[in-house]
Amino acid sequence: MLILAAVAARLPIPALAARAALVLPFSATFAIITWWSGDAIRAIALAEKSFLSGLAALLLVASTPVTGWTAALNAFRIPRMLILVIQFLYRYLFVVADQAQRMRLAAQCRRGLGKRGGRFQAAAGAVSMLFARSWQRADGVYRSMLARGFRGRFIPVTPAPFRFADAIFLAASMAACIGLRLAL
Amino acid sequence: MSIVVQVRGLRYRYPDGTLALDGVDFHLNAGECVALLGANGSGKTTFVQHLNGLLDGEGSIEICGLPLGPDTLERIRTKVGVVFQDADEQLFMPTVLEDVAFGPLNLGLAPPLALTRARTVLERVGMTHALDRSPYHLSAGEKRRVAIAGVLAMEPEILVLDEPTTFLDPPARRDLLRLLRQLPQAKILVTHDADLARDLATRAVFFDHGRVAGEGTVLEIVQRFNWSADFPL
Repeated sequence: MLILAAVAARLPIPALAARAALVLPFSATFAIITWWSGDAIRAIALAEKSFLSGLAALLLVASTPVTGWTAALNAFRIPRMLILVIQFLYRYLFVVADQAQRMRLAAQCRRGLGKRGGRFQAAAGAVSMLFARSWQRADGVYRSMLARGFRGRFIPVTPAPFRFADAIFLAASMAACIGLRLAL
Repeated sequence: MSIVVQVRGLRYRYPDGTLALDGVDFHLNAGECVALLGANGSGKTTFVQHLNGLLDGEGSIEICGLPLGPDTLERIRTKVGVVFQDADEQLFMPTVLEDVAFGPLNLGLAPPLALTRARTVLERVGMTHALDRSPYHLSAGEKRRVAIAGVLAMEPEILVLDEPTTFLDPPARRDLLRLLRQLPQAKILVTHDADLARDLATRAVFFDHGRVAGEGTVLEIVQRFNWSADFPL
Protein backbone atom coordinates (compact mmCIF):
# COMPACT_ATOMS: atom_id res chain seq x y z
CA MET A 1 0.00 0.00 0.00
CA LEU A 2 2.86 2.36 0.82
CA ILE A 3 4.52 1.62 -2.51
CA LEU A 4 1.25 2.29 -4.32
CA ALA A 5 0.92 5.59 -2.49
CA ALA A 6 4.53 6.50 -3.39
CA VAL A 7 3.86 5.70 -7.05
CA ALA A 8 0.66 7.77 -6.99
CA ALA A 9 2.60 10.68 -5.44
CA ARG A 10 5.32 10.26 -8.10
CA LEU A 11 8.03 9.87 -5.48
CA PRO A 12 11.29 7.99 -6.19
CA ILE A 13 10.88 4.72 -4.26
CA PRO A 14 14.62 3.80 -3.89
CA ALA A 15 15.45 7.26 -2.46
CA LEU A 16 12.44 7.08 -0.16
CA ALA A 17 13.44 3.59 1.05
CA ALA A 18 17.05 4.69 1.61
CA ARG A 19 15.91 7.58 3.79
CA ALA A 20 13.45 5.42 5.69
CA ALA A 21 16.34 3.01 6.39
CA LEU A 22 17.94 5.73 8.53
CA VAL A 23 15.73 4.58 11.40
CA LEU A 24 17.12 1.03 11.23
CA PRO A 25 20.28 1.55 13.34
CA PHE A 26 18.06 2.66 16.23
CA SER A 27 15.52 -0.14 15.98
CA ALA A 28 18.27 -2.66 15.15
CA THR A 29 19.67 -2.29 18.67
CA PHE A 30 16.40 -3.46 20.17
CA ALA A 31 15.92 -6.05 17.43
CA ILE A 32 19.33 -7.61 18.24
CA ILE A 33 18.48 -7.77 21.95
CA THR A 34 15.16 -9.41 21.09
CA TRP A 35 16.99 -11.85 18.77
CA TRP A 36 19.43 -12.79 21.58
CA SER A 37 16.54 -13.41 23.90
CA GLY A 38 15.42 -16.09 21.43
CA ASP A 39 12.55 -14.40 19.61
CA ALA A 40 13.84 -14.06 16.03
CA ILE A 41 10.40 -13.42 14.48
CA ARG A 42 9.64 -10.57 16.84
CA ALA A 43 13.10 -9.10 16.15
CA ILE A 44 12.44 -9.08 12.40
CA ALA A 45 8.96 -7.65 12.95
CA LEU A 46 10.42 -4.87 15.09
CA ALA A 47 12.91 -3.80 12.43
CA GLU A 48 10.30 -4.18 9.68
CA LYS A 49 7.67 -2.11 11.51
CA SER A 50 10.07 0.72 12.30
CA PHE A 51 11.19 0.80 8.65
CA LEU A 52 7.58 0.89 7.42
CA SER A 53 6.68 3.57 9.97
CA GLY A 54 9.60 5.68 8.76
CA LEU A 55 8.51 5.12 5.17
CA ALA A 56 4.92 6.13 5.96
CA ALA A 57 6.07 9.28 7.77
CA LEU A 58 8.36 10.23 4.89
CA LEU A 59 5.59 9.59 2.40
CA LEU A 60 3.24 11.88 4.28
CA VAL A 61 5.81 14.66 4.63
CA ALA A 62 6.92 14.40 0.99
CA SER A 63 3.44 14.37 -0.50
CA THR A 64 1.52 16.79 1.73
CA PRO A 65 2.43 20.37 2.68
CA VAL A 66 2.94 20.88 6.41
CA THR A 67 0.03 23.30 6.49
CA GLY A 68 -2.13 20.50 5.05
CA TRP A 69 -1.32 17.78 7.53
CA THR A 70 -1.30 20.09 10.53
CA ALA A 71 -4.77 21.26 9.43
CA ALA A 72 -5.74 17.56 9.33
CA LEU A 73 -4.37 17.05 12.85
CA ASN A 74 -6.45 20.04 13.91
CA ALA A 75 -9.54 18.48 12.30
CA PHE A 76 -8.86 15.26 14.23
CA ARG A 77 -8.92 17.31 17.45
CA ILE A 78 -5.28 16.65 18.30
CA PRO A 79 -4.31 18.98 21.21
CA ARG A 80 -3.53 22.45 19.86
CA MET A 81 -0.34 22.73 21.88
CA LEU A 82 1.05 19.60 20.20
CA ILE A 83 0.22 20.96 16.73
CA LEU A 84 1.81 24.28 17.62
CA VAL A 85 4.99 22.51 18.74
CA ILE A 86 5.14 20.64 15.41
CA GLN A 87 4.59 23.87 13.45
CA PHE A 88 7.28 25.75 15.38
CA LEU A 89 9.66 22.81 15.13
CA TYR A 90 9.19 22.80 11.36
CA ARG A 91 9.80 26.55 11.06
CA TYR A 92 12.79 26.57 13.39
CA LEU A 93 14.39 23.66 11.53
CA PHE A 94 14.85 26.09 8.62
CA VAL A 95 16.28 28.67 11.00
CA VAL A 96 18.84 26.16 12.35
CA ALA A 97 19.67 24.90 8.83
CA ASP A 98 20.15 28.47 7.61
CA GLN A 99 22.45 29.33 10.52
CA ALA A 100 24.42 26.10 10.01
CA GLN A 101 24.88 26.98 6.34
CA ARG A 102 26.17 30.47 7.19
CA MET A 103 28.56 29.14 9.82
CA ARG A 104 29.86 26.41 7.51
CA LEU A 105 30.56 29.03 4.87
CA ALA A 106 32.32 31.24 7.39
CA ALA A 107 34.44 28.28 8.57
CA GLN A 108 35.32 27.37 4.98
CA CYS A 109 36.37 30.96 4.28
CA ARG A 110 38.81 30.62 7.16
CA ARG A 111 40.23 27.38 5.71
CA GLY A 112 37.89 24.85 7.30
CA LEU A 113 38.08 23.49 10.79
CA GLY A 114 41.77 22.48 10.90
CA LYS A 115 43.27 19.03 11.63
CA ARG A 116 41.29 16.08 12.90
CA GLY A 117 41.95 16.65 16.64
CA GLY A 118 41.19 20.33 16.46
CA ARG A 119 38.28 19.61 14.14
CA PHE A 120 36.36 17.80 16.87
CA GLN A 121 36.92 20.65 19.33
CA ALA A 122 35.98 23.24 16.74
CA ALA A 123 32.87 21.27 15.74
CA ALA A 124 31.77 21.01 19.39
CA GLY A 125 32.23 24.76 19.80
CA ALA A 126 30.43 25.38 16.52
CA VAL A 127 27.42 23.32 17.60
CA SER A 128 27.02 25.31 20.82
CA MET A 129 27.39 28.55 18.84
CA LEU A 130 24.88 27.25 16.26
CA PHE A 131 22.27 26.68 18.94
CA ALA A 132 22.93 30.02 20.62
CA ARG A 133 22.57 31.87 17.31
CA SER A 134 19.57 29.79 16.23
CA TRP A 135 17.88 30.55 19.53
CA GLN A 136 18.47 34.26 18.98
CA ARG A 137 17.13 34.02 15.44
CA ALA A 138 14.11 31.98 16.49
CA ASP A 139 13.35 34.62 19.11
CA GLY A 140 13.42 37.25 16.35
CA VAL A 141 11.01 35.17 14.24
CA TYR A 142 8.66 34.78 17.19
CA ARG A 143 8.73 38.52 17.90
CA SER A 144 7.89 39.33 14.32
CA MET A 145 5.00 36.85 14.52
CA LEU A 146 3.70 38.57 17.66
CA ALA A 147 4.05 41.94 15.95
CA ARG A 148 1.74 40.65 13.23
CA GLY A 149 -0.97 39.63 15.64
CA PHE A 150 -0.06 35.97 16.27
CA ARG A 151 -2.24 34.63 19.09
CA GLY A 152 -0.98 31.08 19.48
CA ARG A 153 -2.70 29.59 16.47
CA PHE A 154 -1.69 29.31 12.82
CA ILE A 155 -4.78 29.99 10.74
CA PRO A 156 -4.73 28.06 7.46
CA VAL A 157 -5.12 30.13 4.29
CA THR A 158 -7.14 27.39 2.67
CA PRO A 159 -9.34 25.73 5.28
CA ALA A 160 -9.70 21.99 4.66
CA PRO A 161 -13.01 20.81 6.10
CA PHE A 162 -13.57 17.07 6.46
CA ARG A 163 -15.69 16.21 3.42
CA PHE A 164 -17.65 13.18 2.29
CA ALA A 165 -14.86 12.21 -0.12
CA ASP A 166 -12.39 12.21 2.79
CA ALA A 167 -14.67 9.89 4.76
CA ILE A 168 -14.87 7.51 1.77
CA PHE A 169 -11.07 7.55 1.38
CA LEU A 170 -10.54 6.91 5.08
CA ALA A 171 -13.06 4.06 5.13
CA ALA A 172 -11.53 2.47 2.00
CA SER A 173 -7.98 2.72 3.42
CA MET A 174 -9.03 1.17 6.70
CA ALA A 175 -10.95 -1.58 4.93
CA ALA A 176 -7.90 -2.35 2.79
CA CYS A 177 -5.62 -2.52 5.86
CA ILE A 178 -8.01 -4.77 7.78
CA GLY A 179 -8.54 -6.94 4.69
CA LEU A 180 -4.80 -7.39 4.17
CA ARG A 181 -4.28 -8.18 7.85
CA LEU A 182 -7.00 -10.85 7.80
CA ALA A 183 -5.83 -12.31 4.49
CA LEU A 184 -2.14 -12.65 5.48
CA MET B 1 -1.88 68.03 13.85
CA SER B 2 -2.88 65.01 15.99
CA ILE B 3 -0.30 63.04 17.92
CA VAL B 4 -0.34 59.31 17.12
CA VAL B 5 2.53 58.21 19.37
CA GLN B 6 3.21 59.75 22.76
CA VAL B 7 5.94 58.28 24.96
CA ARG B 8 6.83 59.66 28.39
CA GLY B 9 9.73 58.66 30.63
CA LEU B 10 10.34 55.26 29.06
CA ARG B 11 12.96 53.18 30.89
CA TYR B 12 14.02 49.64 30.09
CA ARG B 13 16.66 47.40 31.55
CA TYR B 14 17.56 44.11 29.84
CA PRO B 15 17.53 40.95 32.00
CA ASP B 16 21.37 41.05 32.12
CA GLY B 17 21.17 44.44 33.85
CA THR B 18 22.07 46.67 30.90
CA LEU B 19 20.12 49.92 30.98
CA ALA B 20 18.92 50.27 27.39
CA LEU B 21 16.47 53.17 27.75
CA ASP B 22 16.76 55.84 30.39
CA GLY B 23 13.76 58.14 30.45
CA VAL B 24 12.88 58.59 26.78
CA ASP B 25 10.24 61.16 25.81
CA PHE B 26 9.01 61.07 22.22
CA HIS B 27 6.04 62.00 20.08
CA LEU B 28 5.01 61.37 16.50
CA ASN B 29 2.39 63.37 14.60
CA ALA B 30 -0.05 61.88 12.09
CA GLY B 31 1.49 61.61 8.61
CA GLU B 32 4.93 62.59 9.88
CA CYS B 33 8.17 60.68 9.23
CA VAL B 34 10.74 60.81 12.02
CA ALA B 35 14.24 59.35 11.76
CA LEU B 36 15.85 57.82 14.83
CA LEU B 37 19.61 58.22 14.57
CA GLY B 38 22.35 57.09 16.91
CA ALA B 39 25.20 54.67 17.38
CA ASN B 40 24.82 50.90 17.67
CA GLY B 41 23.51 50.03 21.11
CA SER B 42 22.13 53.52 21.75
CA GLY B 43 18.62 52.13 22.29
CA LYS B 44 16.84 52.86 18.98
CA THR B 45 15.67 49.31 18.27
CA THR B 46 14.83 48.67 21.93
CA PHE B 47 12.73 51.83 21.85
CA VAL B 48 10.69 50.89 18.77
CA GLN B 49 10.09 47.38 20.11
CA HIS B 50 8.17 49.00 22.95
CA LEU B 51 5.74 50.67 20.58
CA ASN B 52 3.77 47.52 19.90
CA GLY B 53 4.43 45.83 23.21
CA LEU B 54 7.23 43.46 22.20
CA LEU B 55 9.15 44.83 25.17
CA ASP B 56 7.62 46.12 28.35
CA GLY B 57 9.45 48.95 30.13
CA GLU B 58 8.56 51.55 32.74
CA GLY B 59 6.89 54.78 31.68
CA SER B 60 3.83 55.50 29.57
CA ILE B 61 3.11 54.87 25.91
CA GLU B 62 0.00 56.01 24.07
CA ILE B 63 -0.74 54.91 20.53
CA CYS B 64 -3.53 56.79 18.75
CA GLY B 65 -4.88 57.78 22.15
CA LEU B 66 -4.81 54.22 23.53
CA PRO B 67 -2.57 53.63 26.54
CA LEU B 68 -0.39 50.58 25.91
CA GLY B 69 -1.25 47.76 28.30
CA PRO B 70 -2.34 44.11 28.35
CA ASP B 71 -5.95 45.06 27.52
CA THR B 72 -5.08 47.20 24.52
CA LEU B 73 -2.14 45.19 23.18
CA GLU B 74 -4.06 43.42 20.40
CA ARG B 75 -5.59 46.66 19.13
CA ILE B 76 -2.29 48.45 19.31
CA ARG B 77 -0.56 45.74 17.30
CA THR B 78 -3.01 46.42 14.49
CA LYS B 79 -2.09 50.10 14.60
CA VAL B 80 1.70 49.81 14.72
CA GLY B 81 3.36 47.80 11.96
CA VAL B 82 7.01 46.94 12.55
CA VAL B 83 9.32 46.05 9.67
CA PHE B 84 12.28 44.36 11.31
CA GLN B 85 15.92 44.91 10.42
CA ASP B 86 16.46 41.33 9.26
CA ALA B 87 13.78 40.53 6.68
CA ASP B 88 14.55 36.80 7.08
CA GLU B 89 13.16 36.96 10.60
CA GLN B 90 9.92 38.34 9.28
CA LEU B 91 9.30 35.81 6.53
CA PHE B 92 8.38 32.45 7.93
CA MET B 93 5.46 31.05 5.94
CA PRO B 94 5.97 28.60 3.05
CA THR B 95 4.96 31.04 0.29
CA VAL B 96 5.03 34.81 -0.19
CA LEU B 97 1.23 35.00 -0.45
CA GLU B 98 0.70 33.01 2.75
CA ASP B 99 3.27 35.12 4.55
CA VAL B 100 1.56 38.37 3.64
CA ALA B 101 -1.85 36.90 4.51
CA PHE B 102 -0.56 35.82 7.96
CA GLY B 103 -1.30 39.20 9.60
CA PRO B 104 -4.81 39.71 8.15
CA LEU B 105 -5.76 36.15 9.15
CA ASN B 106 -4.66 36.90 12.71
CA LEU B 107 -6.81 40.02 12.60
CA GLY B 108 -9.77 37.73 12.06
CA LEU B 109 -10.34 38.26 8.35
CA ALA B 110 -11.90 35.33 6.48
CA PRO B 111 -9.26 33.49 4.38
CA PRO B 112 -10.60 34.69 0.97
CA LEU B 113 -10.58 38.32 2.19
CA ALA B 114 -7.11 37.92 3.71
CA LEU B 115 -5.82 36.53 0.42
CA THR B 116 -7.41 39.37 -1.56
CA ARG B 117 -5.82 41.92 0.74
CA ALA B 118 -2.45 40.15 0.50
CA ARG B 119 -2.62 40.18 -3.32
CA THR B 120 -3.54 43.88 -3.36
CA VAL B 121 -0.63 44.80 -1.10
CA LEU B 122 1.81 42.63 -3.05
CA GLU B 123 0.72 44.42 -6.20
CA ARG B 124 1.35 47.74 -4.49
CA VAL B 125 4.93 46.77 -3.61
CA GLY B 126 5.51 45.24 -7.04
CA MET B 127 5.81 41.61 -5.95
CA THR B 128 2.92 39.92 -7.76
CA HIS B 129 5.38 37.80 -9.74
CA ALA B 130 6.43 36.00 -6.55
CA LEU B 131 3.06 35.05 -5.02
CA ASP B 132 3.72 31.32 -4.88
CA ARG B 133 7.46 31.46 -4.38
CA SER B 134 9.20 30.57 -1.14
CA PRO B 135 10.36 33.73 0.67
CA TYR B 136 13.74 32.03 1.23
CA HIS B 137 14.48 32.18 -2.49
CA LEU B 138 13.99 35.92 -2.98
CA SER B 139 16.69 38.58 -3.32
CA ALA B 140 17.39 40.93 -0.39
CA GLY B 141 15.39 43.74 -2.01
CA GLU B 142 12.45 41.43 -2.74
CA LYS B 143 12.50 40.07 0.81
CA ARG B 144 12.34 43.61 2.14
CA ARG B 145 9.38 44.41 -0.12
CA VAL B 146 7.52 41.28 1.00
CA ALA B 147 8.29 42.09 4.65
CA ILE B 148 6.81 45.57 4.14
CA ALA B 149 3.82 44.05 2.34
CA GLY B 150 3.26 41.71 5.31
CA VAL B 151 3.01 44.73 7.59
CA LEU B 152 0.97 46.89 5.18
CA ALA B 153 -1.56 44.07 4.84
CA MET B 154 -2.52 44.76 8.45
CA GLU B 155 -3.36 48.35 7.45
CA PRO B 156 -1.42 49.98 10.29
CA GLU B 157 -1.66 53.68 11.08
CA ILE B 158 2.00 53.84 12.07
CA LEU B 159 4.88 52.20 10.28
CA VAL B 160 8.15 51.44 12.08
CA LEU B 161 11.06 50.61 9.79
CA ASP B 162 14.20 49.29 11.43
CA GLU B 163 17.21 49.80 9.13
CA PRO B 164 15.13 49.30 5.96
CA THR B 165 18.05 49.69 3.54
CA THR B 166 20.35 47.07 5.09
CA PHE B 167 21.69 44.61 2.46
CA LEU B 168 20.06 46.54 -0.41
CA ASP B 169 21.93 47.45 -3.57
CA PRO B 170 21.46 51.01 -4.97
CA PRO B 171 18.57 50.17 -7.38
CA ALA B 172 16.72 48.22 -4.68
CA ARG B 173 17.32 51.10 -2.25
CA ARG B 174 15.94 53.57 -4.80
CA ASP B 175 12.83 51.42 -5.37
CA LEU B 176 12.28 51.12 -1.64
CA LEU B 177 12.57 54.88 -1.19
CA ARG B 178 9.99 55.43 -3.92
CA LEU B 179 7.66 52.95 -2.25
CA LEU B 180 8.07 54.45 1.22
CA ARG B 181 7.38 57.96 -0.09
CA GLN B 182 4.04 56.76 -1.47
CA LEU B 183 2.87 55.33 1.86
CA PRO B 184 0.58 57.73 3.74
CA GLN B 185 1.20 56.29 7.22
CA ALA B 186 3.15 58.10 9.94
CA LYS B 187 6.63 56.57 9.93
CA ILE B 188 9.43 56.00 12.39
CA LEU B 189 12.65 55.27 10.59
CA VAL B 190 15.47 53.65 12.56
CA THR B 191 18.61 54.14 10.53
CA HIS B 192 22.32 54.85 10.37
CA ASP B 193 21.86 56.12 6.85
CA ALA B 194 21.85 59.93 7.01
CA ASP B 195 21.02 60.17 3.30
CA LEU B 196 17.94 58.01 3.72
CA ALA B 197 16.89 60.10 6.72
CA ARG B 198 17.34 63.29 4.68
CA ASP B 199 15.31 61.84 1.81
CA LEU B 200 12.37 60.64 3.87
CA ALA B 201 12.18 62.23 7.29
CA THR B 202 11.07 65.71 8.27
CA ARG B 203 12.41 65.42 11.80
CA ALA B 204 15.21 63.48 13.47
CA VAL B 205 15.77 62.30 17.02
CA PHE B 206 19.27 61.36 18.14
CA PHE B 207 19.71 58.56 20.68
CA ASP B 208 22.75 58.27 22.90
CA HIS B 209 23.16 55.73 25.72
CA GLY B 210 19.41 55.16 25.97
CA ARG B 211 18.50 58.85 26.11
CA VAL B 212 17.26 61.36 23.58
CA ALA B 213 20.34 63.52 23.09
CA GLY B 214 18.89 65.86 20.50
CA GLU B 215 15.91 66.60 18.29
CA GLY B 216 15.45 68.79 15.22
CA THR B 217 15.47 68.72 11.45
CA VAL B 218 17.55 65.93 9.92
CA LEU B 219 20.17 68.40 8.71
CA GLU B 220 20.51 70.02 12.13
CA ILE B 221 20.92 66.67 13.88
CA VAL B 222 23.34 65.31 11.29
CA GLN B 223 25.53 68.40 11.61
CA ARG B 224 25.28 68.65 15.39
CA PHE B 225 26.30 65.01 15.95
CA ASN B 226 28.60 64.78 12.91
CA TRP B 227 26.41 61.91 11.71
CA SER B 228 27.37 61.50 8.08
CA ALA B 229 30.09 59.67 6.19
CA ASP B 230 30.37 62.73 3.90
CA PHE B 231 31.59 65.02 6.66
CA PRO B 232 35.34 65.73 6.87
CA LEU B 233 37.23 63.52 9.35
